[in-house]
Amino acid sequence: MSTTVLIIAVFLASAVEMVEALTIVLAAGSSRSWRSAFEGTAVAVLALAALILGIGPSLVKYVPISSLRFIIGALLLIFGLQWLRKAMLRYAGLKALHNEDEIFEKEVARLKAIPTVSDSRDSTAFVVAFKGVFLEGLEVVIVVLTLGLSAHKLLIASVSALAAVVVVGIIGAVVAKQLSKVPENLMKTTVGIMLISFGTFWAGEGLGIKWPGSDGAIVFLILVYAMFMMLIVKGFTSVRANYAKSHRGAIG
Amino acid sequence: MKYVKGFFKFWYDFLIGDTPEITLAIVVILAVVALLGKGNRYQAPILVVGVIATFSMAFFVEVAKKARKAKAGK
Repeated sequence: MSTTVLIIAVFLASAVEMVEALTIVLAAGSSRSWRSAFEGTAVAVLALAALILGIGPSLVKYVPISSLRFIIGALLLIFGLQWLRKAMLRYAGLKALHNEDEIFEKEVARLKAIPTVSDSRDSTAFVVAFKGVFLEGLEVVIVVLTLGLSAHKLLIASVSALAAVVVVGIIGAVVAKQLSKVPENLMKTTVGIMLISFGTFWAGEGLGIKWPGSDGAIVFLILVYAMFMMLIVKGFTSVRANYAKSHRGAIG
Repeated sequence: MKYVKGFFKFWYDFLIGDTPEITLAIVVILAVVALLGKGNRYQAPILVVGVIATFSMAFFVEVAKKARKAKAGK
């Protein structure tokens, strides 16, 4: 059960980050040079894979599993809560939704303004694509390493992340400039809840908590957190709507 | 030096960023749970309630910030 949840969490987290990276790659490719943008992407993906392969096995070898789980759990809790907070603020209308089409247009305009140097490789497209994929991918590396190492399923987590990269790549190639149709905030909310659930479970295990139902407790934590977070945000939005309504009534 | 600075900046942005209250709250909650000792039956509930309380606090801190900004803008 927890393996399925792990696969879903890694897949969704990677997909969200890859949608953001893809926007940058598409902008660099369509405004400058497709070849250089793809080369930058390929180098970044290789660098990220090297990071996972370089750090992952050595951490498992040299750090005791209970300490590793505690540290990873704490990291996931902080990371997950930051992610969830942003997603919920967007859900409550307190933060603008991430609009990939708008970001794409801005990036294209910015890149077109940079003069092209007559060379076989467009270094701007290469660097922009590399930086976009590498920086967005670093978060994927952290998710893969933390979830994969704690569950002793680094390979499964890596394959799940790679599948997300491929799926997002294919969808990106098909829909090209319609990335705003991806329900990014819903995906971010789901991943945020999953990350804090895994974080609670592993930080707890590292501190000696024996969870009832063993790994099954992760699913219970997901349900409890999802319910409470939605209650808090829904409660807030309905109070705010009522306040705005009564205020309008008083003025009118 | 540039890479060392970049490395620390990445971890600072990743762990603290614009929400130091989340990091601080999680450190405090984990310390409390650790102090309760292994096998204490209150460890799990305190951890879960602490995480929910941290989320609520982080959410409403931002709400308060936005409200203050809106008031100042009037």
